[in-house]
Amino acid sequence: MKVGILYDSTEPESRALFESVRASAEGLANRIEVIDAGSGTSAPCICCFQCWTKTPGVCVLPRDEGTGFVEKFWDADYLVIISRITWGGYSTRIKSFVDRLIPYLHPYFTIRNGEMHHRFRYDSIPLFLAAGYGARTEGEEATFLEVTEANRDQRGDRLEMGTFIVGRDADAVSAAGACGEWLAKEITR
Amino acid sequence: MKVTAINGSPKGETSNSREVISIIRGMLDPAIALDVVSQIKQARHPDDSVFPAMAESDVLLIASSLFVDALPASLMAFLERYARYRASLSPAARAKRQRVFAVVNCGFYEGKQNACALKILSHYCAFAGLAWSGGVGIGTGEMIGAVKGVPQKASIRKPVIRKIRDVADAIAHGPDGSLASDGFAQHGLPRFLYKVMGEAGWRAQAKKNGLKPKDLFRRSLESAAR
Repeated sequence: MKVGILYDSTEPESRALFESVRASAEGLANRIEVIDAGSGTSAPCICCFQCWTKTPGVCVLPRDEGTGFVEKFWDADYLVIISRITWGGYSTRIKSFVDRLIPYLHPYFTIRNGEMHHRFRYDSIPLFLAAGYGARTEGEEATFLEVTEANRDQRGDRLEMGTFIVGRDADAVSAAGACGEWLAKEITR
Repeated sequence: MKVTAINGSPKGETSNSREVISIIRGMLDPAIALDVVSQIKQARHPDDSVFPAMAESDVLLIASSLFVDALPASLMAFLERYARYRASLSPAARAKRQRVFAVVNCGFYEGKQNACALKILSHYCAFAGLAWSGGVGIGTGEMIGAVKGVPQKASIRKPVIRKIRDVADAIAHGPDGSLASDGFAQHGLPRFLYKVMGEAGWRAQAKKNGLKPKDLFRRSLESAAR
């Protein structure tokens, strides 16, 4: 089993959740790949689609950490995204990495759970698990659940507990232990 | 009334989002001023000098493409900068009520797939002290530009044009104009036909780049790993 983890070391909450998630994954996965969004940049995807129609499977932007996002995670079974909840979605910094996953996909379409999605370039794509913290409102938390569920819909998976949210009344550092337990449960189900 | 339209697509001037802005411009009374800010130019060369005029407009119209079920990171960065600018204004300037409308489009068939992106924009408005006034999600987004020469009342365009018109009408309605709820639409053709046409489009682009249809299936990273 291979687990990929994307987090942002510039935020103490993210560091705490990451440590717990990694410790949990170490006992269960034989390969772990990590990208720290805080120690490298991922240029914004420019929507040129050349990773589909010119150099299929490979991003044409100058090489940066975002390129590594695809290279390290394309064959992972799980991708754990640890992010501050920003307006109900991922933070801008984390999203700049997530936007670069387009080369995972094939331009052709398929129908999953009644909705149109892209075919996969490889046998599958990693199953997205998300751990979010720092929501400002209940509405942001609800939207984060919906966004991360929509991410999983791209793969056709419905999970009951695929998203872990640090409640607004809790702090991420003390919730880190529970986050690690959540991950262990998810990847061994 | 003054409107600032934000073209959120990284494709810039040739994007379907830019075309949505043009359609709405055409529906509004010429007396309503509408300026367009290109988010992608801003991403390349951040320039806060666009913010004072933006902050004085009565309406912000955000047109964007969908990126992984949400907003493009580059648009988020621009909106974050605008929120910071707005927070730095005097209390009087900050008190100006700005209505925000959004039209988000995606290449998938179902307009509904843009629902999360619209919710994210509604939370952004709450965060930045702006008045969220509703949005529209358009599926079959690749067709927006492709059918721009077709009459708006043609059955292929009608469902999408009707939703875009709801936005234009709400903007023009005045200070209280808003959508009762977010709306969703796609162009008037069956899903299988859109799929066939879309895939033919990808093959045509590949051909332009000197590739064969089977090249679209390259498993580049797998070959590299061996």
